[in-house]
Amino acid sequence: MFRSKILTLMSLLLIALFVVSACAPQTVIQTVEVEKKVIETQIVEVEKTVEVEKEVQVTTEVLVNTSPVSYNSYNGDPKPREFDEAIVAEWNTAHPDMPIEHSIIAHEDFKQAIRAYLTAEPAPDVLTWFAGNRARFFIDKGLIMDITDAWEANGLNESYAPGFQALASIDDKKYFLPTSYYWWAIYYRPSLLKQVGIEKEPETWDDLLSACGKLNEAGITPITIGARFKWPAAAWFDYLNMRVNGPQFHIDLMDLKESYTDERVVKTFEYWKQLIDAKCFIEDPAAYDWQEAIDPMVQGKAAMYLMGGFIVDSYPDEMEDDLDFFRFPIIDPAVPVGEDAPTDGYFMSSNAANPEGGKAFLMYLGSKEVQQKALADLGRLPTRTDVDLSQIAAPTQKGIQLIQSADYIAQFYDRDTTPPMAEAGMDAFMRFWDDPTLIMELLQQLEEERLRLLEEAAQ
Amino acid sequence: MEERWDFNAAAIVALLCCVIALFAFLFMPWIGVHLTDNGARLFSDYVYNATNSRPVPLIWIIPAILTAATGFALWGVLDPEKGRFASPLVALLGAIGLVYFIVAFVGPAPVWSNPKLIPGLGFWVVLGCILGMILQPALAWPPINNALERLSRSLPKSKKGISPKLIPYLFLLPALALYLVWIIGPTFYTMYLSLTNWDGVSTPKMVGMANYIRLFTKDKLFIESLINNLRWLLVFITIPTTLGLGMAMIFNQEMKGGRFYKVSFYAPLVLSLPVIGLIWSWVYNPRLGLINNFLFLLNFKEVPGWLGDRSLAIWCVIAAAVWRQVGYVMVLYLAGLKNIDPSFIDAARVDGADRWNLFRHVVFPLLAPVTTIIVVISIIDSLRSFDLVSIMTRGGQSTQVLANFMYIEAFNNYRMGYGAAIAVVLFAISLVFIGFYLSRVVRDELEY
Repeated sequence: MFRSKILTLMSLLLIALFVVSACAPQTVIQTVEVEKKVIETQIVEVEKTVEVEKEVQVTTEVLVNTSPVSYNSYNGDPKPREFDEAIVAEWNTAHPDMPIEHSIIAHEDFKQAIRAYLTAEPAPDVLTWFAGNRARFFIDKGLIMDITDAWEANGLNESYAPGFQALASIDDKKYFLPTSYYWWAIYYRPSLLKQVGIEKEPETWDDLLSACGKLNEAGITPITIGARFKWPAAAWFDYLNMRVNGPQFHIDLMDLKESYTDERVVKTFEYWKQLIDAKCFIEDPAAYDWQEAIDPMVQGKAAMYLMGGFIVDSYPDEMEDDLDFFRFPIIDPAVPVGEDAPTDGYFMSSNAANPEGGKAFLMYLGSKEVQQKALADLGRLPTRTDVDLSQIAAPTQKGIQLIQSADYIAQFYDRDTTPPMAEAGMDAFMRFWDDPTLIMELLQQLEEERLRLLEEAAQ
Repeated sequence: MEERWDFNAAAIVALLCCVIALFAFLFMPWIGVHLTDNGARLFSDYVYNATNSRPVPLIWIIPAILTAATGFALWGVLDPEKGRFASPLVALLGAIGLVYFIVAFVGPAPVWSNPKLIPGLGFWVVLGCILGMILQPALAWPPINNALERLSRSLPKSKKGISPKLIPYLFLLPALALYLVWIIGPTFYTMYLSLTNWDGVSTPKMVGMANYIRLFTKDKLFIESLINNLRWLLVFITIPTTLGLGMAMIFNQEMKGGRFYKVSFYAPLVLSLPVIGLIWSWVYNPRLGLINNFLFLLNFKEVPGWLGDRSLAIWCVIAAAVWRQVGYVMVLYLAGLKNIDPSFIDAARVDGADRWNLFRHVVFPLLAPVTTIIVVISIIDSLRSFDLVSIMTRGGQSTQVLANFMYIEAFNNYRMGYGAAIAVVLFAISLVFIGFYLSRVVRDELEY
């Protein structure tokens, strides 16, 4: 009985608290309106002569009239994430009527999730993605919006480099907006090479082998690699194949037009085996993720790393002075030079909820200002020809030189070929790495996979 | 109060009003006609200052009073004696809720003034329920209450109620409905998908048993996954079970810090598997990891590559899984040991059994039900394993397991039909063990 009296008293006190707090409705309303006035200062200034009550009404109306643009991006690493958030913030201040609903998803997870995004109703308006086969898969299924009109209307046909325009089109219609590319090269620590007496960057195959020999003698691992998720190993295949057999054969192989049991492919692996036999690589490459493989380089225990330009995002800033790169050595001077330069960009889904807003945002992302900022902040090379290159640092100029002097630009193994082939191929590369004698068996399996994929495509 | 006010009917009406109001707030449109503009979403947009939040000042009153009122109304229905105060309390809360509507209609920015903010169905339903909440104590007023009672007495009584056999199923109905829609349905859909060559975006096309034939005859990765799952199963049935039993026997005795040890051994189960995978992959790092650095300390020059070594990788992953499982088995066995009737132990001691014979002939047989549960759970967990493999190696280094293989085939390679076939195979394997376990359990129950 007593207990229930206490309970009643407590609940009455609670209610009294509610009533008291509710008794301040006027101030609550006022603060709400004030906040909104702050956001909309530009509108309010225009309406200077309007009376107080009307101002309140105007602000509420403007807020309701937004058509949001949803933007899904995979820029999860620290520096790209900062860049992404900065450009979205700039757009939001310039276009408060088209606010961006910005989602950043981890890079690897985005690759799996994109299928769900593109088939959702409504799908996100703008998404980050890679050029090449990866985009082509979705374009062929009709999930990507044709943006030829936006390219024309915004003059992109004049300001984009022809190579990238070709990359963005299928059957003369533009589906993709390539905005940045980065080069792949062998990054190395000049101090370590100088230490063992290598003065010049290795340019030929023999140079590379002799550099490996000298580094091994000094107790430094010549080449580090972090192949836990397999794709860094595919880079070695790409470059060796392009250097030994030429980029044309490589691209035909990626398009499933050439056989994996071709003797030219076997030759590529023979060169690879030379490197493995000469103990050029770090031990247990599959135990490390690609970022973890940077540790030996930083600690001075390894000298070289075949990796893309984004290695500098994860490389400690204070050690970047001692980081340089060189082109993958030429094996046969008669063979055209192919380079991997994966191109990133954006596209729009066909099921987009806000196509007009999406196209506007897309064109902003492909604009000169954003590309200039990407160049300055991230060192990513612009695909537009009108970006000012005078301020860029020497390493970036070197990279641009590297790509512009190449005869052919490939995307990367898992972007040039279909996902199941890439999966099977990368698995085979890792198995070859463990036991090079298995190569014929592995190539046979890859050939079977290729035939299976051709069969599936024909169905 | 000459007659006692009977708040039973009022409390039921109050509960009804509160529940309907809560549903309306959560699921019906508050502004306009779109279901996405429900009260709950507008409330959270307002609280978090989302970019497109509509101005709904004071809306926080509604969820606050509704939750409090539902609590009080429930108290009133369940405890008619002490809960008599619930009904007036609910009326009071309703009056507070009315403040929001008063402000909405006659406040500084009334709802009529803005054509874009026309109240929706949810708004009106909640208003109606709030009025109901304010008025319901009237049902307890003796004249009205007596009228209600006379009404209920005059209603024809049905001879049969609900048949007693039907009642368990009626209780199960909500849960069964959800289970059917979200688990049984997709299972059958997956079985259908396994007979197609769906790639996730175009329309599926039937190919019959082609996926299964390919799985069992041509796919090397499938065989490898199957073998890895089998290894996982064999390790899981033996090692965590013996270690867990040993630890349970040790910690069953009173000892200093016993509770601390039990908690620390159980702790890994609280960690999520991806976290365990990440940290163990650091431990296994050949250059910087814990294990190899310990070996370097002991002057070993040649150390294993752990995850980098194709022959060791799967065992490394299984070891991380065992580390987590041991605590779970230990706790189950501890519970089983506590349930052993001490008279059995005493009788065996009187008969002169030493510790080993005591364990072998008395304790272990009495733990048989727990052992069965543990073995079945170990088998199911080993077949289900996905997280650790996905985080530590993503299926590389010959650590592929069925669940990860299915995930990669379905979501990375866009072969949904093939992935479905793998899922069905996994389901069939699990069904064998689960069927065996269920038959044992049901048989035992019938014996009692």
